Amino acid sequence: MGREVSKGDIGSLVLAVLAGGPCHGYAIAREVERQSREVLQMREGSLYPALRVLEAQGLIKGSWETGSSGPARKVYSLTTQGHDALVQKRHAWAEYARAINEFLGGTYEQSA
Amino acid sequence: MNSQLEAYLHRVEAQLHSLPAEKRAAELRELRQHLEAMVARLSNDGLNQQEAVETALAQFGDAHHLGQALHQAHRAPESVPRFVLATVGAVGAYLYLFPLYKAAVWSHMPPGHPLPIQGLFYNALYWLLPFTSGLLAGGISTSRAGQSTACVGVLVAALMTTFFSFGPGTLLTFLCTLLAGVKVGSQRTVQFSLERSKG
Repeated sequence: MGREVSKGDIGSLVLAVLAGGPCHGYAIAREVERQSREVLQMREGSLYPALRVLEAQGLIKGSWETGSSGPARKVYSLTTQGHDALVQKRHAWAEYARAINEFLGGTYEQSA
Repeated sequence: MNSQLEAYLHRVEAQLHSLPAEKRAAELRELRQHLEAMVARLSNDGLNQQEAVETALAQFGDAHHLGQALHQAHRAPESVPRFVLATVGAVGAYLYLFPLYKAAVWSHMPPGHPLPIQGLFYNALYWLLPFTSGLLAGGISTSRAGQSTACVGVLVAALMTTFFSFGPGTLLTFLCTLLAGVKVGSQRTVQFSLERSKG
């Protein structure tokens, strides 16, 4: 049973997926599930508003592209600003995870 | 397309009525493609058509909420803080520039009642200052719309101050002109930054 991605984390996950290359919305949602080994579930109703916000912030860029077959699809890619934001988010997350791990990872001993 | 999916998209569309038609159509087109892809995948996984549609719609959530969330997301989240910052900047710039202007121009005004043409000229300069302060604070606009707004704003301000002298009309005109400059400038800044990030 997957766990739904919280709204606050969707932006970071989208940026991380797009760091691997341009994707359309459907592929982004599936890629989050695949890369998390189905632990995280991306809810589409939250994905598209998050994509619009990231576009407005200039972190991603969406463009309609026509493939070899089928209709044009909107494909998203990371901007330079988005790359920088992702680096910052990764750094911030590593710090946060390390701090939490100090408490919950077994290395923390509560003083009596 | 499945009538249930169409009905869902109609409900989303109802929340996007304030978006330009082109944006709205693009939004719905993208959602439709996503829904169709999901239904196709779920059908391949063994669900019948009805189950696949229902599962896909459940994954998307309530249409009303999705529409509202998209509508909110389209409302340029940066524009309000930018506008506020630009207003503060404009007032600051005006307060800083006014003494310079006063020393350079105001002190050289003809004594007594100036001739109408001179009064118009000085008043035009007087009101040009808040407008350009606003424009500079919000971001310099090179668009035709920005320039036209600036010209109209200054002309109206000059006429108003000529007719109403320095009464409440003057204050009102000052504020309107300042805010017009800020608004034009800040809007252009947001558009410019978004265009640049897209480019």
